[in-house]
Amino acid sequence: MNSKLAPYLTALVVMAALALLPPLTKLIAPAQWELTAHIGIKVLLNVGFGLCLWLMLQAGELSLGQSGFITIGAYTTGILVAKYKLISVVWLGYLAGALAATVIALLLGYLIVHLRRIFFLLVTWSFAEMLHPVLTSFEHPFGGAMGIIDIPAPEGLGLFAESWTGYYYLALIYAFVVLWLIWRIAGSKVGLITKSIGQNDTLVTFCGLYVRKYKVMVFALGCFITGVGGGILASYLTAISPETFTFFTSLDIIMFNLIGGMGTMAGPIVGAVILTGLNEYLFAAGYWRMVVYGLIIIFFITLLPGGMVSLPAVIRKKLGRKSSKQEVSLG
Amino acid sequence: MSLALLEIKDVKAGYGAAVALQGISLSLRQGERVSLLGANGAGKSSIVNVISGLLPIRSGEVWFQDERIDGRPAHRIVGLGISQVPEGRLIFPKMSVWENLELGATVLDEAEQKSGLLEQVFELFPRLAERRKQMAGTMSGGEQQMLAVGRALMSRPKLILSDEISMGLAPVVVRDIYDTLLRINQEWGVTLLMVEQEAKLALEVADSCHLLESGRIVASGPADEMARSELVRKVYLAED
Repeated sequence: MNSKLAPYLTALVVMAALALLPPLTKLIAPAQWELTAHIGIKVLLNVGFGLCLWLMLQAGELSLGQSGFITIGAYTTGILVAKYKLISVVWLGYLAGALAATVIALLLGYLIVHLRRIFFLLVTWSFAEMLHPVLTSFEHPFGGAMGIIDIPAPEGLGLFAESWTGYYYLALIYAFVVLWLIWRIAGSKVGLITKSIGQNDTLVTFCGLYVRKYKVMVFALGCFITGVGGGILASYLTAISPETFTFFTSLDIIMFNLIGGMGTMAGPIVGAVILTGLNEYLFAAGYWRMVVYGLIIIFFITLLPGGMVSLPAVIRKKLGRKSSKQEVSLG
Repeated sequence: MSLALLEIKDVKAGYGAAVALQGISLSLRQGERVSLLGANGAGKSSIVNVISGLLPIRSGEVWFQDERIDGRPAHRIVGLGISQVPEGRLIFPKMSVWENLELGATVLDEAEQKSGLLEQVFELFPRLAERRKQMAGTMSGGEQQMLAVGRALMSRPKLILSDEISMGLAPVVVRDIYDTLLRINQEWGVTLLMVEQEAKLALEVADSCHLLESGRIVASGPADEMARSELVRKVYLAED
């Protein structure tokens, strides 16, 4: 098989399988579909968010503020489409949300992309936290503590008998469009430059490239895509408040990359599937959830820094070492 | 038009409170090979960093091909035809040799990039050609230094600034790399400004040499004369 086509074919097969999930589930276990759809929507949107951060991580941008950009996307959509009804087409509301996230990312990014990882993390985190009191304090335009309600579904979603089936397909398309976009970028010259910045930005300067420009570009692009996801979430949830997207949302997006692994694009996808699934159960654990998170973080950073996708290679290496030891003892 | 390719006039520069250069003037002619000699902290690296725009100057002027270049950001210096082989064998370790070289050529336009430059670099460093798909970080120190030089060549520079090529490498490998640099100088006409702590080497590979001490040029001259001078022989060549 042509190796250039292989990843596209794999993606198509997975996408087709996921597209068949609704009719099949409804056929085999109809009672299960609604819950499955809700989890599926979260997983698919999270895959998109995780991939955006993956691209930023390539450039050394460890953002703990992605919930802020989801919030900006969601609120912009909600304010324009529901609260003041300034835009009548919901899809355009998503675009406006994404553009708002991009503008903020350009401004913030220009100021902070040169910072070292830890400071970049601190600033992005505080930026996202800053939004909560601001949104809570102003009835206009943010809706205060109550937030924004009655956010409509995008046009065309009414074609589906149940809204969750429609949102499931929307999230599926979102995830695969993001996957395709990030894949294309990662394989382009800009992707190569992005990766090189993460390895040694001084040397990138010596190659005659303006590091700041590329870093801001990657940050803004990641936030644009994340902003679209925020808009979709606003519709899906129908109501958003300052507490809808929290520190945990941002932490999760980092953890997708940590659990799955940052080496390849498969990492955040695997991580998003695992952690989103796990979160369904952890929700019941209340504040014990943080204990589980702590243990997961310690485990992956110390024992499996390459994430789940590195597991096969790690196991192979361990087995290989064992067999070579046996050979020695036999000899 | 003056004859100088590069001209530095009374440059003062430093890092914070520390003064690294206290009034440096020097000039390089097209095709010349000049080495900078001196102890640690004498200001050798600061001079190349001033030229490449990494270290801002406090006073003085830097001219390249009749254009004043001090104050320009570092990324805009490369496109003028100045390429640096930085200290410490800087390469992108988690990228292939080929990707490292490709990144070196990003300032050129498409046509120039495809003009056989890569083949020329591979011809100079056959070792890199053999390892073009290998992760750069997994190569030996010498091969990494070759890659650093090769990468610097990929922007078709008129002037190469090299910083401590010999550091941490076996003498035979260093010899090899300097031989290639001489070829680049003779066949490609690239001007070389070489920072080299290894005094013997610095005097062998260059036409002329500047000796630095605490941010000042204390002696300059043709390399063979410098090699015979009392000061250089006693302090830097450790001869009696």
